[in-house]
Amino acid sequence: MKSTLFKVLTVIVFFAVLLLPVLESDKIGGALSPNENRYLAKFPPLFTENYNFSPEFKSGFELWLNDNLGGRQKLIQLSKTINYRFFGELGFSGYRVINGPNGWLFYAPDPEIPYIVNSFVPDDAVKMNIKNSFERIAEGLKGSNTALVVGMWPPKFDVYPEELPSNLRLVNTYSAAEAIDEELKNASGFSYASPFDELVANKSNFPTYSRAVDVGHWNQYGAFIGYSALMEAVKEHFPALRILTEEDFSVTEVERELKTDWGFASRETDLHYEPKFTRSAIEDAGFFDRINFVSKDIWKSYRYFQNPDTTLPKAILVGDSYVWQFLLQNMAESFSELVFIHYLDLDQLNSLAAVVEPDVIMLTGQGFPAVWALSQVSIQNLSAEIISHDTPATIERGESYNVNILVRNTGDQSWSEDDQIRLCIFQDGKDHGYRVHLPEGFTLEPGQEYTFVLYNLRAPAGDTTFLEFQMLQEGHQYFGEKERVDIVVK
Amino acid sequence: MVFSSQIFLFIFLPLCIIGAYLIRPDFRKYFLILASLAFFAWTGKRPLAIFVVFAIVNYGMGLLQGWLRDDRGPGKKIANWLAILSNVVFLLAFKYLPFFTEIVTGSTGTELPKIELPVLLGVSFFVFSAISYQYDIYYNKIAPQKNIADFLLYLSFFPKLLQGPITRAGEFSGQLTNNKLNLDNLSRGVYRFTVGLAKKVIIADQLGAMVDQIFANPATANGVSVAWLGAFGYAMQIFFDFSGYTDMAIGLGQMLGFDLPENFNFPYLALNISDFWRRWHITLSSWFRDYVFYPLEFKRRKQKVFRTETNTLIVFFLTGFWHGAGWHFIVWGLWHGLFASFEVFLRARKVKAKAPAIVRYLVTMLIVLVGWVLFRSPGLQYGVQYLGVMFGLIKPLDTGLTLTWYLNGKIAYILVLSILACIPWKQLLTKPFDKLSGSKLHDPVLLVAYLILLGFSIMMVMSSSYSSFIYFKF
Repeated sequence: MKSTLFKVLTVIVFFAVLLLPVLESDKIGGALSPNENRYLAKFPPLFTENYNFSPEFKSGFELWLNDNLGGRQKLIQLSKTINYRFFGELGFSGYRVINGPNGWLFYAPDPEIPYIVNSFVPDDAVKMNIKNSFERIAEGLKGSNTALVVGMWPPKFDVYPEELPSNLRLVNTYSAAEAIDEELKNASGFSYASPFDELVANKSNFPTYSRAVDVGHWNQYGAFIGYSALMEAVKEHFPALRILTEEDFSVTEVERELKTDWGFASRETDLHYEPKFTRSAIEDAGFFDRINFVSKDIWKSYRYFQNPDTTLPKAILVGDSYVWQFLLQNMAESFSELVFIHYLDLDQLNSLAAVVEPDVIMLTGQGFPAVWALSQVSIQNLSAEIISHDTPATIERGESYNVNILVRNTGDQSWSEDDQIRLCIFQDGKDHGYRVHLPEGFTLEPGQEYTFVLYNLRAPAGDTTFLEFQMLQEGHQYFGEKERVDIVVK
Repeated sequence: MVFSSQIFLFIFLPLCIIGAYLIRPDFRKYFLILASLAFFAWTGKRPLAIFVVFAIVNYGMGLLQGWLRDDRGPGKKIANWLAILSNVVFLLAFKYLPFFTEIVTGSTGTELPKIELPVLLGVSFFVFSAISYQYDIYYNKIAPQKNIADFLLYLSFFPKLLQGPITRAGEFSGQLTNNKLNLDNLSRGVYRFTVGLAKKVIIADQLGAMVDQIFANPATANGVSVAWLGAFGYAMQIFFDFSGYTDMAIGLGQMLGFDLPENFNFPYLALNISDFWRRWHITLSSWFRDYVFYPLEFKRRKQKVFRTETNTLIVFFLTGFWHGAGWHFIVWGLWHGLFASFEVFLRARKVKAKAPAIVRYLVTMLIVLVGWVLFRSPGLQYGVQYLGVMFGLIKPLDTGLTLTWYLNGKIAYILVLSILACIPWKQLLTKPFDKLSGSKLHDPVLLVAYLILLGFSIMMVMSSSYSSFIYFKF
């Protein structure tokens, strides 16, 4: 540039563009970003609680800066608008969404691609493995009189392959989900819910999956087909089971809409199922706290429903968003207790089963990967009874006490330190890590009793306290009866 | 700290430039040293401590060489060898130790004790700067730097610290006394920096996302056309990434009153491999030419047969190895070296290429493209398999992903843009550019172009921090 004016302008604009976002930044941070469905980073503390320089400050500062610069949301929106208007990019940043020629949207992150294009189809050994695993689980559950029902929800791309974009070519006409579906239909020892064929057959009447409002799920109509298939499978074990039908609802058409702030929008018609009956099942939000449920489910989708009619069967339902976003309320009507957990919490199934003692366990998931994961669960019947203990009701400060706790193995698995089965002592409702171990090399067989000795119990700081005893498998689950004892400190 | 990161752009850069202009000129040097060390310290405290010790040792060895300058005995030579060898050992230790350990373990089966050394970003660059400094002192091209602050600034100057351009002490130190901060330099620097940022975030990063996807697949899981797209995309990505970085470095240097050397001169217009290396990473090629090739030529001057050819091959072997601790980098270097040596062989025999320029151009670009595949691959085996697919020697797996899966409208647009940006329009369209240069429209046109580039670049930088929380899959 030759003119001083333009040189000055160049420099001023440059530094204004770099400095204004900092001056306009959210100095505190932590605001909710609805588009990103997350909270933005907060400004990090410079010092630790001990007044040392925080080692996390540097990374925290970068995170805060990246999230909270002034104008960030506007520029992101502008970028997405440009990408959408000029290049047809859908703008669901963070995950890939693809669109077909008729505007159907599909959730398509990299791990899903082999299933979308059918380049992965399980061989006979894999199919057999899944079937045999479920049969083994069903066999294991027979001891506790619990039925097993397996359900697979076909992915959207398997029900609507014709709506996939042309830059994807199906490698096989047969999908992984179809292969598993065929195999499990012929399984014995458990019931299998397969809405696949019906979801495909019914799509000519009305769409069974959301076209472009929801990129990955079925719609209410498809969900109702899924509900019916699952309940029919449960009914094989409980012939008197109540299954809701379309007659129980007044079904109306509703408009669903997706609007984004970068210009992409879509509308579609779905069905709305308004019950003609009064719902009797009630959700109990405190259930999971009471049983010390430790969850890996980041959406906290676990739910517990109770029905006044206690003659109905009790059920545990494992599933994903196909279930918790669509089916739970209707399903809860047919069970005296219905416990739903996400399959991310599959490792909690045993402890949950020990508490709930269900009549039926339903393992459901979308497509091959979920069904494969479900088939690998190991059902253990760990159960315990606290027969007696000699905890003093009053303890004196400065004194130490030994407490004997007699426990019976009421499950069908043997216990040993190798399996990390221990007695857990809760104090004032919290697990502080106090454990009493079984001796090394010792095995407690089902039906046998063992006395755990808690040595050197001492008075805590307060005037009262309470202890609880419960068995646990370290890192996996608490199980069996939980015994509480209140103690007065003198 | 990457130049295109938000912490650099929005915090470090403005603070550093404004600080440099506000501070008293006699303190500016110290301010820049502190800024450079802070820039390096962002990678960690241990790397910073190691770097400072490295700089002090090199400063001391430079003084020692200066002290022995008139020594007639072996002292001068020993001091020089010691200085260069210690730098080479430093580089080998901090960059190549795991590679050598792997080779020893693989060939002998002996598990060597693991030595965990911190990662020193830019180690190849600042070690080469130090070697050239020691070498130039030995050959009396420069005097040893007596002022430790001047030496520290030469070695640590943040615009060139992590990725070059590799500067020579003579070029840099001369500017220390003549360092001018003025509107001319500042506006030139700002413009150049913005062009570099745009190259990086608008072209390189966008192509990088596509290239990463392709190279993340198993080598045989890309179709032929997809494999070619990946290779071509990477060729463009690496050029715009590296030349963008160099533009930013040169721009920052200009803002602070320093002229750093150019590193690229339209490399994708080269008509042979030697020509390519005169245009690509120029400061590295010239470093190898001055500090490896010429000394080798001199040492082996009595050897008449294939001397220059083998020296060329040695230089390219080292060039490959310099780029990374992996066999694919070495093979990439040798691949270029093979053709460069062949060209030396033909030139020595005065054989002139008879093929039309377009054929020579296409052959050169094909060689370069094959080289980039080896360079980008995670390992040699992967690279060979990938090339096998490209040239139809290996039948790829059918993944169902067609060319347009990767080559969507945006990528196609960016590829076209990148091709256009590889052409020296100013040299091709001299008249219109001269006309524009002489007209009143010159500055407004440049300003508008600059504003567009700056606006888009900042938008891209901010958008890169967009990360949504995936929920609906589950």
